[in-house]
Amino acid sequence: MSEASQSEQQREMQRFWERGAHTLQALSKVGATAIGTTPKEVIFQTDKIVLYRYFAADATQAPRVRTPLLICYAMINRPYMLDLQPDRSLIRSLLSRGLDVYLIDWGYPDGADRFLELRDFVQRYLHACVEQVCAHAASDQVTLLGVCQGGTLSLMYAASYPERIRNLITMVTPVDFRTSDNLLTKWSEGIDVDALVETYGNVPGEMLNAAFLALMPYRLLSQKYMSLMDHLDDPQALENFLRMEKWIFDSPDQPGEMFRQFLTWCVKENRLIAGTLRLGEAPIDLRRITMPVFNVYALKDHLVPPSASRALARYVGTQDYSSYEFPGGHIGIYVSGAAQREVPMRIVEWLRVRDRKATARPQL
Amino acid sequence: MSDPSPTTPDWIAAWINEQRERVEKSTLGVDSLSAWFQKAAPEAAAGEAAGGSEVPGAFASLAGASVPPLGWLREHLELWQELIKAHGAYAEALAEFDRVLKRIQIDALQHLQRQLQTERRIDNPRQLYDLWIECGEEVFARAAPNEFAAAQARLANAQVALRSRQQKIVETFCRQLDLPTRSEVNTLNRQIRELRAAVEGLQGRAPTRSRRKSVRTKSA
Repeated sequence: MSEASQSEQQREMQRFWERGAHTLQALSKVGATAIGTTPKEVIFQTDKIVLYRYFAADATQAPRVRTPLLICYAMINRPYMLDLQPDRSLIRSLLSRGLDVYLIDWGYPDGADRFLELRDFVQRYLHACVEQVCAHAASDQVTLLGVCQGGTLSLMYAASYPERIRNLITMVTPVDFRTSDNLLTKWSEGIDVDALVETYGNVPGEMLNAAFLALMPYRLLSQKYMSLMDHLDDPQALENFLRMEKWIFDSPDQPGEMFRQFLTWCVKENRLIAGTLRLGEAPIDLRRITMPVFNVYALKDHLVPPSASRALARYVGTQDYSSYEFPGGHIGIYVSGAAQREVPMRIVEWLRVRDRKATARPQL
Repeated sequence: MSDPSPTTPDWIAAWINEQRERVEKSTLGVDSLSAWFQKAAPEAAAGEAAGGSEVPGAFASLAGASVPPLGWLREHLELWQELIKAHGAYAEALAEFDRVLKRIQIDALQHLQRQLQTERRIDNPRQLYDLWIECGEEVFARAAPNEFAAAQARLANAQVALRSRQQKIVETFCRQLDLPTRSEVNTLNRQIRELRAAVEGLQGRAPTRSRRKSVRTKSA
């Protein structure tokens, strides 16, 4: 290699590191980033759980969808992913299309919650929230939208209380946990979850984050940060990055017993589709899900492979099953530009076809 | 790992060699941690059992030994022996995990070298970096379901077992000082759950519901 060429490469490397330093400086100038700015009000609280109702930032001209929508997010991350920023908000998009949107915030479990079980979340908290939404919206039913693990909980709920669910929507929801391409299931096989929960109590959010990062270690631990250099002169892009970074690592601890049951019964033993899952005395039979079902999943999902979600079609009892395969990833389905155009539109179109006048109920 | 091909540009070859040396020299800190612990643990055990006074020699030897625990300090000895064994298992699992990670990283560099021998053109460090990431993920994806999964699970289980033994020792100290322990709080927690369920049963309803006045917020 000629000396001139070697010098050029050294200068190129020097520019590379300088750009990295400038990126850090640019990040430090971004300042505070607001997250989850769509207006909302608290309509119900119990223990750590808070039930919100959202309001459109601007008055919507779209005709109203009568049945209220209740979002059941996963417990593993925070639900403000659905309202990350004004132009990346599934909640805003649903509101602007005439939906009445409610959301369950599971909060941050602590040591007092370590003995909460799966049935507490489905039969106690989720049920209480559904009842509250029905009362608040003067409706005898809700449309339940479950996200990821929240979708699995929603399936358990819909199978337990089908009379309360007008429509069921699942998004990136694992149903069959033992498809061959499910790496997280593979990793969980060797973990002694009983010892883990016995020792730790609640499972730390950092522990789960470490597992998620390990799925794509080179990209998520290195390249993601290197790519920031491409947006050095774009403060908006840097702000968006910091918002995502906040969400990714803002991970609540998982209540110990609930986590043990979820990992053992659902992930390792796949009881949901085996038909052997029971919550307390109540069997969970997916064939009792006879209301319309809309299953939305992401084709490039590295956390919940599409095969894990697609399986739902084979197990529910409904005659009205639809699905939408989003051409993106587990997070892109909420925050990508394509998702903002496609996902809320498809959800609302699907709901409008099935909307009917909700039976009026006196307010409690 | 073979040296970069003679056709590989010098700056790329230098970078690959630098990465390889870095991987080979790196350690997850097993050896130094192990050495410290093997020395410190029996002494700490002796101090704990003797309430700070000078018993130590015999106790320290017994804590580190494989003989069954005996005598008045039997329960304490057993706790420390289990802790030391758990630490040994953890150190082994950590070393194995380290070996697997290194193997993956070295294989990734080899894969990178093979890619460079194709028609792929690399004009600047950023392109080299992105190719390295791609190679790394491909190699990792092959190891992830089996070799890496086994090493990771072994390490996780060993770490949990070690922490469990540590917690038992800490609880022993807490009890000696009449401080509340996690075990006691767990007992109280369970009792509260049972009471709550009994109260709800008496009230004739399953979920606990409380209604608070609604509070509207404009932003999070």
